[in-house]
Amino acid sequence: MAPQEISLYPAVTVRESLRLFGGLHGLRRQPLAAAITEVTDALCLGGFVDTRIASLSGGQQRRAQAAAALLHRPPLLLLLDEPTAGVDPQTRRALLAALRQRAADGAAIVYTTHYLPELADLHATLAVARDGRVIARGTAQQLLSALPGQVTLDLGDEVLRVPATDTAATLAQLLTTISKPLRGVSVTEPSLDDLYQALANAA
Amino acid sequence: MRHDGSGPMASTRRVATLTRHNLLLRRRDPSNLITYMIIPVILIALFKPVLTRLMPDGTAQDVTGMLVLSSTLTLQIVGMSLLSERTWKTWEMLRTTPASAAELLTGKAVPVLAVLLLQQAAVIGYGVAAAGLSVTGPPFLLLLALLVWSLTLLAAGSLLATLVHSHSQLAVLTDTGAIAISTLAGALLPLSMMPAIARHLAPASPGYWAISMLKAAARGDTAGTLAPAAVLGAIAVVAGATACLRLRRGLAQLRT
Repeated sequence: MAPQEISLYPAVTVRESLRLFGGLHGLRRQPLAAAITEVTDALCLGGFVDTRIASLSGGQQRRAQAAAALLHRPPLLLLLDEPTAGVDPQTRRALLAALRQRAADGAAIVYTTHYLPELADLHATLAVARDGRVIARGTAQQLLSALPGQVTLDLGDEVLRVPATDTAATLAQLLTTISKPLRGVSVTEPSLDDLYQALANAA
Repeated sequence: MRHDGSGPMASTRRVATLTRHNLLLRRRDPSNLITYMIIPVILIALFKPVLTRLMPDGTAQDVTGMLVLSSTLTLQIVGMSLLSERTWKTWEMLRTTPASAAELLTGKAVPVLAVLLLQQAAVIGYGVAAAGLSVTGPPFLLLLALLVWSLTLLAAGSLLATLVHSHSQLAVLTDTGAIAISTLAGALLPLSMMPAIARHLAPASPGYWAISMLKAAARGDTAGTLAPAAVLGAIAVVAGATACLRLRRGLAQLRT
């Protein structure tokens, strides 16, 4: 489990933290050392493994916390509460890659986040919660299919905005019907942010 | 090698891992311990000329009194070791591991107990070597007395940690508590020179029983050691059991 807030001992190093949590999960000696090397490499912490937690940046502390959760390769269930809150893109990429690997290894991962675009990267089943209740569930593709995108045509003296579930078909149809000269075209597909906003407005 | 999470061997290994880790935390922040070792050294030297003039066993009163004063101040170390788990939010992280609450508490208690024994042994050692404290009794009796007093402090400090919300609250309680307990016990001034009400209230202070026990142990009085040890043991059991009951609810959720 990785809680939302940093929950590590500030006075000890990353390696010492991982030795504690690895040891409590039954890892010892060589397997423990190998697991520490593997997880710190995966999360780009290799250069900081002997740095005290208090001396790490916020993003590095997040990675160290995730390393403590992933170290023992939890075989069944991994709970992560906003592990990428306030982190840099490098940390986010490293963490999501490590999670994809754990999922490929067979672990079930429950992951909460407010950064919706990263959910598309995880190729996960999504559950949108509001006031503690799940209000939508499915893959990103399934959930987004219910939302319209938008085709925008710039006709010079006017801009035409047309909502469209199938933006390609709608654009093709519009192009055959308009008679004015076309100065610009743009197609906007719905995003997970749009989905969340639509669900929030509907609730 | 990865071990099954159940069984006494796995449990012992987890406690050993926790003990090592908590010893590391203690080593990383030795300032309090050093302070509580220096304080009695200074006070013993300052109070010895006065107490030896006032009392026939002035040296024993001086050393044991200052030991009790300085060791009650270490309640802050005990309380901090648990309270820090709350402020660092590490306790809930530890609870997600296979370690049980009993293993977590044991892993925390062993290093703190070692620190308490080390501090008190250092004060006794200084008392014998530099202040002329005479230890005529068997060493095990003195060791028993130190162990009982350390366990009492450990239980009381753990209980305090479950009652406060912040380090400053803990510091206020432990500092004023330590002074009150020690003064009422006669650590700074012989009881015979204190007001009548203080003499009557003295047995309510655990420090009173600790000084009595330590002085008896130093002179080899077994019965005189065991009687106050029983009183302190009872205090330790009540405080320790109450602390454990509160800790079962989880450190993060604790409210006074």
